Amino acid sequence: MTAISEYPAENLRMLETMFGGSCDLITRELEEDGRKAGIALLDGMCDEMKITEAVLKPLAKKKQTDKSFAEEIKDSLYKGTEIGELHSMEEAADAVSGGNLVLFVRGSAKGLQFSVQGYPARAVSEPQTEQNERGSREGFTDNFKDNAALLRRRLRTPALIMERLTKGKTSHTPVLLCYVRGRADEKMLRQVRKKIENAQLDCIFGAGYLRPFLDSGRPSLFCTSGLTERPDTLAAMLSEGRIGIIVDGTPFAVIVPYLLSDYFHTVDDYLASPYYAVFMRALRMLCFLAATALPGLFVAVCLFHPEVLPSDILYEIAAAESKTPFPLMTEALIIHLIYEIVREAGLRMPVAIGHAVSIVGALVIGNAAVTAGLIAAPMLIIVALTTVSSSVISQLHEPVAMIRFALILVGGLTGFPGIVIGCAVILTDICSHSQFGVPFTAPLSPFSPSAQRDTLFRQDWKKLGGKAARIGEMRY
Amino acid sequence: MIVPLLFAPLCLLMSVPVFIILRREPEGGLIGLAEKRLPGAVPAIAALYALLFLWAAAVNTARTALFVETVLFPDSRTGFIMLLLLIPAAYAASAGLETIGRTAFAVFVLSAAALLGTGAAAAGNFDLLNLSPPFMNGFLPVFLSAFHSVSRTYEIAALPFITGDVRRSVSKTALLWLGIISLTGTLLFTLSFGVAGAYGSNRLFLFFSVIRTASFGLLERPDPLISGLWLVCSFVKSAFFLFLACRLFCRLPAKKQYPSAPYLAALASAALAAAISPTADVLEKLLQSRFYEAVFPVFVTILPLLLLSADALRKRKNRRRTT
Repeated sequence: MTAISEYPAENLRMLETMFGGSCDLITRELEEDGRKAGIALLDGMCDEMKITEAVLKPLAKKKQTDKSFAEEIKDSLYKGTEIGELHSMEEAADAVSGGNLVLFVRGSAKGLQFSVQGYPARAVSEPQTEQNERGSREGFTDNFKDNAALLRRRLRTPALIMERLTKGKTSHTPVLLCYVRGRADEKMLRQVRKKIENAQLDCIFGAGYLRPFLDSGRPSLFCTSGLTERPDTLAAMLSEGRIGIIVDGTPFAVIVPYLLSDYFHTVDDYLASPYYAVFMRALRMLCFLAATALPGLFVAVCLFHPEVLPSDILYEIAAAESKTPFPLMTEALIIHLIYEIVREAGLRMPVAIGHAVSIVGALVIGNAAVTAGLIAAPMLIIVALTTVSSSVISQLHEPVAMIRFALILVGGLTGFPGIVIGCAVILTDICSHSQFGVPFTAPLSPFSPSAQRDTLFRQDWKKLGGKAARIGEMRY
Repeated sequence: MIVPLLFAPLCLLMSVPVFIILRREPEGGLIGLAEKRLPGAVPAIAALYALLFLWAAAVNTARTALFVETVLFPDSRTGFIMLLLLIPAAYAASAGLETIGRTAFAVFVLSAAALLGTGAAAAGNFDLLNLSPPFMNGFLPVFLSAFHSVSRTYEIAALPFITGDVRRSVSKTALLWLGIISLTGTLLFTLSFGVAGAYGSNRLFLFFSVIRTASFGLLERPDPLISGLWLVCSFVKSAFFLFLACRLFCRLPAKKQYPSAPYLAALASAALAAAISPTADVLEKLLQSRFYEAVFPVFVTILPLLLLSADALRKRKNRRRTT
């Protein structure tokens, strides 16, 4: 650690050296009342108005007293701005990097940092990945302070604790560990904190960087930590005793522990009538099964077990398939690969061109391929059903896409036994995860009848509101 | 119909020594008791039971492979089917008992639903006249039949090795498990014989023959789907036995866990399964042989009884010394 010099000019020079003469580092020497001071900040990272109102103007009006110069400044400057003391040049460099203004005064071996950040940030907008019908329209932004405020607005209790950590050797990204005191399990909290602290990362540019460190140890297709873009979802999860992690620079917060059943719940479930919510949850689970296993099952049934299908349907499929040049399994693989390409193109292309890609995908590939006899219509129907089902559970798209391809291959090579053994392996994989002592499959397996009021089913708020659910109760 | 009903009391009767051990050593089970009373014999006991479970996995795999080979894919290769079943089972075994338990629960729910569905679909073919009086040929054949079923239930032998992992009362869990098996067995046998009648007694896979007669709306023949579920049950069973075999084998050199052990056990089990089932006839003869009736009580009743006797003797000696 390099000590702060009592000479501001020396400190400013040292900062310039530390920043390698970067052009956006602004350093100025000031002289007030015969005593020298120096300020440093990064261009574009600070709000000029805040600097003038909170630092420079009060500094000019300051009267000399018996206190040390640094103490005087700290006491007399505008109280609305967050002020902190700095004890080393490394701390000063970190503060400047974080968008703070750093002040050195002659005769003091300490520096002062003023929170006058004013960097450009996206305003609060509707969440892009978690659309809803009746819930809040506010989504997280890229600024962690805004996100903290959005969360605090929904949980107005001093029990909501936010611990600030800094991660990333180079990026020094602020990370907020959020939980509700008294509800989050202490042991779980210690484990999460330790895992984040031990995470060896050079840079963090998104919540996804931390997820592998929080997931259960076994490699898996499924993530046992969740992501949300919605402050209301995070607030609800925290009130259940879960732990949230907000990373600066991303509109997604990580939730731990995250259960398999959570993937099938949405905000609208809690705003719609219970019977409809139950129906929708069942539908989403069905969609998950269809999105993963339907193409594989179709291939296996058509190739190995045609006796399962009624003769009329079987004849139609056979007639359509006889006109295509590819074997059924290859056809299924090709068309799903095309779908993944179209999806990826739709995601990466500029919005204006995205529509064109959709049209090309839907009309040119779909319609023309069937007309040209390259792909059979029944297969296209299966693909359409699969992709629509996949969109219903968009958070699970990554594992679903991988499993789908695997099951098409297994179904095409080994038929129904392969499909069921493949499904059994996936089931085993899902069942093998526990996060901070909570099984990923809880409360379905191990089965907890009392927890079913908001898992498979969703009770009326009159009953559900009486006793808040606790994730800690599912620990094994 | 009576055979499955006799199953539970017979199971209970044979596993009385196991239950006594569970009461004395709720954490350590049979090995825990052996460590206290006969420490020198622990490796031998562990090896014996490990081989038993390896054998159980092999028999289960061979039987499943026979089913797939004779019913689903007549042209398939047995070795391939065995590996298709055992390698994933080894993966499940490597994930631990908790994972196998959770998977088993999900499979149980699916199986129960499938059984109910199949039962409902096949109910149209059910005829009460097909059910013959149970004691038509006297009590002995019924008893021997029940004993025949019990002696193939290796899970009873597994009870004293999983006690440390069971969070609820082991005795209650075991009783519940026996109750479920008896009830399911009774329902299955009643349904199967009610549909198949006398024809059912000479069927190799009776329940499969029954579900072939059922149909569900769009699905004209649900048998491949139900067979798939049976395969998953077999997978869970193999995974459980492989896990137990590995747990016991890992106790031999040192109390260490070897990550590759389940895969080695799966290969050994596959080799064993291939050896005992060169043809369907050989396997069927082996499965019907009296060998099981002779071996099963040794592991479930006699060995635990010997350990309890050793325990009692040691206690008596200690008491004499103190007096």
